[in-house]
Amino acid sequence: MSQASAIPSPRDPAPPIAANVRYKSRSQRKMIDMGFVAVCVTSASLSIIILLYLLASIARQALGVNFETNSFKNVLFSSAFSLTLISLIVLMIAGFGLLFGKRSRSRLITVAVAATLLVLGLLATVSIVKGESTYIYLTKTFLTEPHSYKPRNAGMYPAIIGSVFVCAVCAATAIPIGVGTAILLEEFKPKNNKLRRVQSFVQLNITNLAGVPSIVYGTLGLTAFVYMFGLFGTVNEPLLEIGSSKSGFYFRLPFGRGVLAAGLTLMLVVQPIIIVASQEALRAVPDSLRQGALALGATRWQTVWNITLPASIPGIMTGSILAMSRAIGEAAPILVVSAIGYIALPPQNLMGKFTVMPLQIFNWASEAKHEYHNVAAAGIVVLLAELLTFNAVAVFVRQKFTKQLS
Amino acid sequence: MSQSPLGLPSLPPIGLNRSSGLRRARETVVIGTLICCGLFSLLTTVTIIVVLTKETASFFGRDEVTVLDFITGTEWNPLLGNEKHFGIWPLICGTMLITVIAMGLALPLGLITAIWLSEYAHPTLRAVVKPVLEVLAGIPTVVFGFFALTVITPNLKWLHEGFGVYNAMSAGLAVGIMTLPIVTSLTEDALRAVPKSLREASYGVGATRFETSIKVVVPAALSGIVAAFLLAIARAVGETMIVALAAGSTAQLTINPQDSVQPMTGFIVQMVKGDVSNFDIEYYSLYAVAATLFIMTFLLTVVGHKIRVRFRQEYQ
Amino acid sequence: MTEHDPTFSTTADTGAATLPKVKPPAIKMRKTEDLASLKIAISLRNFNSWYTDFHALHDIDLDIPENRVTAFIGPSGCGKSTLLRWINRMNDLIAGARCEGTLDLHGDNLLDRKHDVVELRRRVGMVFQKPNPFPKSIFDNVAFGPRLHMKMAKSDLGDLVERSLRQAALWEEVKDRLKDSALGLSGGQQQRLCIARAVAVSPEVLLMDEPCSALDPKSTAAVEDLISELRERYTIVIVTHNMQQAARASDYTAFMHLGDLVEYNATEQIFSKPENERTQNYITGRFG
Repeated sequence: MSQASAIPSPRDPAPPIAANVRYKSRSQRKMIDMGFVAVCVTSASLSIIILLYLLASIARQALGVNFETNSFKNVLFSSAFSLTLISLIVLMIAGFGLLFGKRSRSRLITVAVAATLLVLGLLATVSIVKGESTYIYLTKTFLTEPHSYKPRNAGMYPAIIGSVFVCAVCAATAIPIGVGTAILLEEFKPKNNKLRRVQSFVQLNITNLAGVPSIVYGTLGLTAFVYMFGLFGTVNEPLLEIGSSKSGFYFRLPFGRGVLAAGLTLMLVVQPIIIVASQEALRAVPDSLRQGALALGATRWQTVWNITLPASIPGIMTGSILAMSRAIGEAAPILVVSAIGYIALPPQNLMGKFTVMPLQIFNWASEAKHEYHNVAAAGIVVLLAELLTFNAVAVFVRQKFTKQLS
Repeated sequence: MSQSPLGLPSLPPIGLNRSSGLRRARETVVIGTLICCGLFSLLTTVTIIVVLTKETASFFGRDEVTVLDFITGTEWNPLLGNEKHFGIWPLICGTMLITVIAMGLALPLGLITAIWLSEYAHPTLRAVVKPVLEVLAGIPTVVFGFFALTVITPNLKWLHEGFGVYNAMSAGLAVGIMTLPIVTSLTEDALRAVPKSLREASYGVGATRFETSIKVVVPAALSGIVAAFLLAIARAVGETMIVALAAGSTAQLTINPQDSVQPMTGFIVQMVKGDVSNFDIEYYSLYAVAATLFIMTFLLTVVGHKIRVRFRQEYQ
Repeated sequence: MTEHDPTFSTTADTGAATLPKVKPPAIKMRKTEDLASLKIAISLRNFNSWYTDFHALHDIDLDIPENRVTAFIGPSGCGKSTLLRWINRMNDLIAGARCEGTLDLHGDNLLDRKHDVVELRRRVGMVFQKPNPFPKSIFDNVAFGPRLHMKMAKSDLGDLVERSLRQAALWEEVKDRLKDSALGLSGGQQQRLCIARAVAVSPEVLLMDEPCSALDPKSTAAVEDLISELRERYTIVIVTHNMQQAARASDYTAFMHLGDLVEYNATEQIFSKPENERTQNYITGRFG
């Protein structure tokens, strides 16, 4: 069988085959390994530093502190702010662990150290702000006033209400259609070969839609929802009008540049995300549950409605909440659809003029007057607060409602 | 038969159940509704293609522009009164410049971070970092645009005098930072899909962790990694708000990152902010650019999907 | 003790003071020398290991002789795979695994933290239960190890790959298709490829974790023949749950149960004259 030519004994110290074979330096290989770890740690630290600097500069501008770019004070503020933020996070995590988990010595020490650092950081930050700030732009009136020609009086109120309306429309349309499509693709898989090809085509199509830039959806929304292909007259001379544009109920064809059109456009943007997330939630339900229901004589829809859907609701809800959080942050499609500058009042009805939070921030940031940058920063703080809230709610929903399924 | 063993009244034989007809009707209605939902996504794609094609055709139907001029022209100034030019290349060049800078930052860094997360990092660290990456991926892009405008650009100007208020480098860096979490997340998924037995085989022969990652895991996950990269490039190409804030509105053919450039998405924003309801040629040029953008991202997504499906390694 | 149940007869029935002789299985077993006269390759003393809080191995004392085949047998969960994986420190990859005691390879203490794990895994090769070739060509699979550890000319590498494949009794079958993907081979061929891959870095010891459990009988026979040839060059340790395989293929057998090393002796002894009652019960199929 094996015709082994003279293979030297395995324990010969000499090279295994020929004189010109050398062993590679093991320490060198180890150094490369450690070098890679060093590179990773460096790049991770750099990323964290950049992220913290980003947050610090937004907070700084929102609080009205305007340093020149590379002054030492800038670095000082960023460090103080980062210290405050990090110690706050550590304090929260360790604090929760202490309250709900086991009380260990190390946790107590962590909490104590974090609290001290937090106080120090807060003191430093507040003193810098007190000393250098010209005006704090993040105030309560910021949330209740509309835009004004004086940056200090500018507020976000119409944008906030506009965002709520648009996202409500978006959620009301996107979630049913998206979940319905997901159920169709996951639970009603055809056995016919031709239909199966159609199904994979639809799936591929959804993957493509996920990659389409949101501004292209904006142009689609412009044509399809605002102008409605010109089939119902123009925006200024609508074919159909019910109610008056000042009242709470007003409907027109074409939709024109209103909340409804924007909501529907956003629905297009958010569709693929909801479909994919719902598909994953449905896939996570173990097959044994479905088999059990079918074996008892349930039809496919009965199985879905009574067994699969209830089991996957937490996952679907989490996915939808995250998708909505993305939707609130989308400015490009809304820009194409609404294309109006500053709005003084929140929208009166579904067809009314409106603006959304990210768009308002964009407008402020594009202003020539640099003081508006501070106002934009304050708006970003509000937007990020909303993002965090949505994510926290999503995590909470996932934790609380996900049950053990098998 | 009278009574079943449990003492319950017996059911009529199968097929004579009166409500089965109703049940079947309801089932059909429900399935019909679901199919409509499914067709909606097809309808969306069809509508996009139809709308873009129709308006682009109107664009090319105008006297001031020809298809040849569009595809080969190197000047783009649609608002210049009598001297309108409609060559698409300056816009594509702007998009490409920004995308190259962004991907130069995001792809290597994302790959390294993904390798570290999946091969080196402690499981609890990975469990913490993954959700954080998801949150970072959801940050609205205006935030990064604002960052580019108010932080990156001044820093670049301090570094070197040549950077203008609007420049491609600043926008490119911001787009890179924005896509970094997505690249890391998708690449890490691809790496984790490689089965543990391959890693064990490599360690068993005496490889270091770095050698295992680079010579076994990454090659095995390559199709997924390439698909992830293509998806990230598609995101960068389609990015709007960052470039609208930081890149500028000068459409020119340049590879100098210090210059102000206008990518395709930036042009669409510029057109839309003005008054375009009078259906002039500028309005139609918007659709032509949108069509080009759509074709580019469509190709990227399709190629990525094909690569992932065709070259997916059978590990066993 | 259970009450006397006439359905079963126990060893107590015979009333003999010593255990009765078990009928030897109809398998030809090798004649081996006395353990004390052999050179020892691997020795364990007071070896204990834990998975977090679970005490997996208790006070193992074992000497594995050089250039012989030693088999670890025992029911599921007895710790034989765990013990095997400690010899080449593969358990380092599992979080929470730790050990105490002495584990020496030719006098080198393997448990010393400073001992280079990378070199250890070159000296102690491993073949896994399910064949796990890399999704690369056959040549690249075998050449993977040498390329990591050694610098050599391309022709030398080709020679080394050929010799490794010959040692694994695979050369004749694949010599025309070295560039083809390794995944195109059958299960038995893939396992022999894994053996060739392990052998290519010139190890001193070969560890095999149930190498034939995923193979059909014909491939199993081929691999067992291979093992008995390879023992001339390498010290081989197999883990198997198939007692007949242990009887066929090994020189020495260690029987483990619930983390203890119950009995360790020449294979012939274990299967014909076991000294411990538990061993006998396992071998005769009373449990396991």
